[in-house]
Amino acid sequence: VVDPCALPGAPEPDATIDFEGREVRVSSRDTVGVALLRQGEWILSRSVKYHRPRGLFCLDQGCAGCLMRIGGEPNQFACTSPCRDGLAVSRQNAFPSAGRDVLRAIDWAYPGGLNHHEMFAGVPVAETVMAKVARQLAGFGELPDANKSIAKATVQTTSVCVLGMGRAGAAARARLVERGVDAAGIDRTTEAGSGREAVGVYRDGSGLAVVARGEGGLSVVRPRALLVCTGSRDQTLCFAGNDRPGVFTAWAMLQLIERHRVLPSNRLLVAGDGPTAAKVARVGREAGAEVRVVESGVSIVRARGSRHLQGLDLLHPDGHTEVWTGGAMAACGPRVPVFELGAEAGAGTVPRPAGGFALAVDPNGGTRVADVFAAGSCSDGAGDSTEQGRRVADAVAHATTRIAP
Amino acid sequence: MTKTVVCPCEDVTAHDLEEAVRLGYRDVESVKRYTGFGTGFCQGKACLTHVASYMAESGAVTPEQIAPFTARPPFRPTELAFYAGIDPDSVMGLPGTAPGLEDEGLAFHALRPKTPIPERCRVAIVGGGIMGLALAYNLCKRGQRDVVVLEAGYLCNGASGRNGGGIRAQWNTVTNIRLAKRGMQLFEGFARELGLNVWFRRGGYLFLARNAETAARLERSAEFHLLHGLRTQIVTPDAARDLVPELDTRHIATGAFNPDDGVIFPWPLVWGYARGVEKLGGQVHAFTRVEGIDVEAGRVRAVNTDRGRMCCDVLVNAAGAWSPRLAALAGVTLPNVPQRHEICSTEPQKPFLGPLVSVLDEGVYFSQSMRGELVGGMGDPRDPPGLNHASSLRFLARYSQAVLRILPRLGSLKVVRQWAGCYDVTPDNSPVLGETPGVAGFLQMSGFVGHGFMMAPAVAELLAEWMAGGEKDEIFDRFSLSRFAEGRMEREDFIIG
Repeated sequence: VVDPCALPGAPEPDATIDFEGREVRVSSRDTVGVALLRQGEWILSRSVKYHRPRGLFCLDQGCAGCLMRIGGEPNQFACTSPCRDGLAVSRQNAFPSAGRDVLRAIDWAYPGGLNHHEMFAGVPVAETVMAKVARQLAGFGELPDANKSIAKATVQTTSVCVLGMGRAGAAARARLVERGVDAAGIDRTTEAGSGREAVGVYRDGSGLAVVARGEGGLSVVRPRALLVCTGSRDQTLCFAGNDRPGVFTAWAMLQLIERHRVLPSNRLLVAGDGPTAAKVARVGREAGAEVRVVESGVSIVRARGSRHLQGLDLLHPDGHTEVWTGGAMAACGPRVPVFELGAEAGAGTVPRPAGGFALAVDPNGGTRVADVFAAGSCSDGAGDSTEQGRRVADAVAHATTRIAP
Repeated sequence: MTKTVVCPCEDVTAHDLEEAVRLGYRDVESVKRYTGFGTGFCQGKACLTHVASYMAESGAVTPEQIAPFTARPPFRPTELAFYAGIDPDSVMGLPGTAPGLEDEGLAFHALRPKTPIPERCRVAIVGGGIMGLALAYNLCKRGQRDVVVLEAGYLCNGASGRNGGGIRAQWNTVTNIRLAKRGMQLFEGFARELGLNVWFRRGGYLFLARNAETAARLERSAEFHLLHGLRTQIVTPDAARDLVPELDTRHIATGAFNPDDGVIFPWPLVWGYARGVEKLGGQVHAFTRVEGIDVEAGRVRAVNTDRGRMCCDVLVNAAGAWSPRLAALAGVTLPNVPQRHEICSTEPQKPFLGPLVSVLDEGVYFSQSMRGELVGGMGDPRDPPGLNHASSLRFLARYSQAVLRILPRLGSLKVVRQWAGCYDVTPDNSPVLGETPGVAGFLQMSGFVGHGFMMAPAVAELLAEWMAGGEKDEIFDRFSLSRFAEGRMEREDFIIG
């Protein structure tokens, strides 16, 4: 098993960051997390309670694995924070350092877990000492070097706000524009979404308010109707040591290889079946990795490697066990709907047989609230996402004529 | 080493889930609170699916009972300095009703146990918050074990599970100081008595005044505190900065600091009292809604619930913000009014704040929890009265501005979760306790105006003592419901939030 290696097309170093006092040559086109992975730095943080090693996992600001102190600010997502020359980067929540954290002893000492509700409860002296120690151990990161100034929010009114510019959202917005309906798209990762991400949906005396955050601050979008196209997200798999650096979501693995041109290990394991698993396996092989695909009949029992993934114990349906050796795996289980923003807006949810919750919609994408619609994989609507987006856009366009401004 | 990590943000393992279900936490909201899953940076994005699947597979809930926990903004951790840039008046508060409460009702109805409740009991207590549970526990301890507590939702759904955990003795009436001091003793001994840590941290309460009038109020109250055995000191702005190193004193006139006040983690008290009740032979029924009260010949006879009728000799109204609704079922009008108060929690950071800080002029308060989060809230004079658990953007804008005015250092602190609870407000900010004129056997234990949590252990002890045949404390006359008709107000003006 070899360390992460750069693939053809990887950006060339053109900047230097300060990583815990060490100068590291990076590309300014890389994010901090990816730049450190290229250097073989698997451990970007330590977990809050057991000080377990953590690193890049979702690459989508959806977990806490990569939170670092970056540019003097605590708890920044290294997966998306860009590198720039002279940037100071350090890991947090570890003693003496995240690379070698003696507080990991808590993890070893309590293999079955530590029930903080009952530990030393009512034991004289011990409970007082524990309370003092716990307060020092708790928390993640320290206050920033400088005060952050207040960023004035902007306010925008629109007929329709489309949350998410994936297939359903992009198709819906195109259709709305085609019909002459004023529609604002919000999506962090696309230009059509103006690089803003929705962080909350509220309802007040005058209707809906979507709060979106961009680089410089917040914008408040006041639509007459909301179309939720927030899509779905990957989930990790449950097995012992499933949080070890080297375990990635399917999406993260594809991002690393295709976009960032870094192969996390020359031996990859792809867990899951279906088109996503097949794609990850193909992309991994094309990048030169030896890929092992483990379909759903085989269970992953536990991760090997104390600091980062070095292998997996597998259990076959016939009862025989196998040890796979390799440095990275992609969890390609079923994706689950991103329902949260729709639920904040008042839409109802239904449990899905494959896991997770979807926004409950009628055939027109309507939810139980009149001014909120949903389309695509965040909902339980049937059919192709693009087709759903177009269909629901028609219903939204019709509805906005009925909802008073 | 061998841990299967279900919630990586908070290090919650598969074993923790099993343990929670084994201990009787059998709905997603309760498991969330007991294990802490879904309370970290990602707010459930990585873990909710696994927990929901586990709970369905383990048989803790049936497939139709599975629901996600309430989605709470923000979707991604967002800086106070960003929210402070919103003009609060451009985003109004909410109207007095919220779809949130109806949703809760539906979810709770699905989780209602299929078994009937007992046909009769001696004491029925409505409200499974700290007030009702502490009373039940204290009755059981005094040998009165024929007690049944009825709670419409899960055990932390009301204000007991939604408050900021502030515990203080800085009050402006002799009675409140007495109750708060006794409460603190009980909090100190709670883990020993009931086996759960409550993380009571006495970092003090620092009240700040921005204008001269409020400063004069603080000075008057500090004198009163000294007379009644508290260690409250008036502090200059510079001395306040010694207590809170990052404090911007430009807008501060004076402060009052009592080092013996502190903050607590509220949920374990609710669970601890509930466990204590069940261990001693009393009963606690969650997800059980009271729909009617039978009063015959001026006396309470029974409560009707969505799980059947239960006769009782005594009925106690410990329903907090729902207490006027409950009383109305017995034909009794309480002067209490529910009032929403909003609150939020940030990312956890290493200790940076010792005391709970409150600016008395504007009602903002915040403290750093044992986990390192900044937890705080602020009332809104424009918020209409009514039961309401919805969260508003206006709150975040107002709260962020109020915090950053005195602690600009905290601008980059990111909010991870906001929520709301209801104060149970009375005309004179004092509780409604004891007998109900015209309805024998109906006892009131409500109207605590946002400080019921800290008062509950002491009040419950006194009420249980009286109900078990002991002495009747003067609070049950002083704070009786009849005082409103008699025009005898007991004003407390040190209310925050």
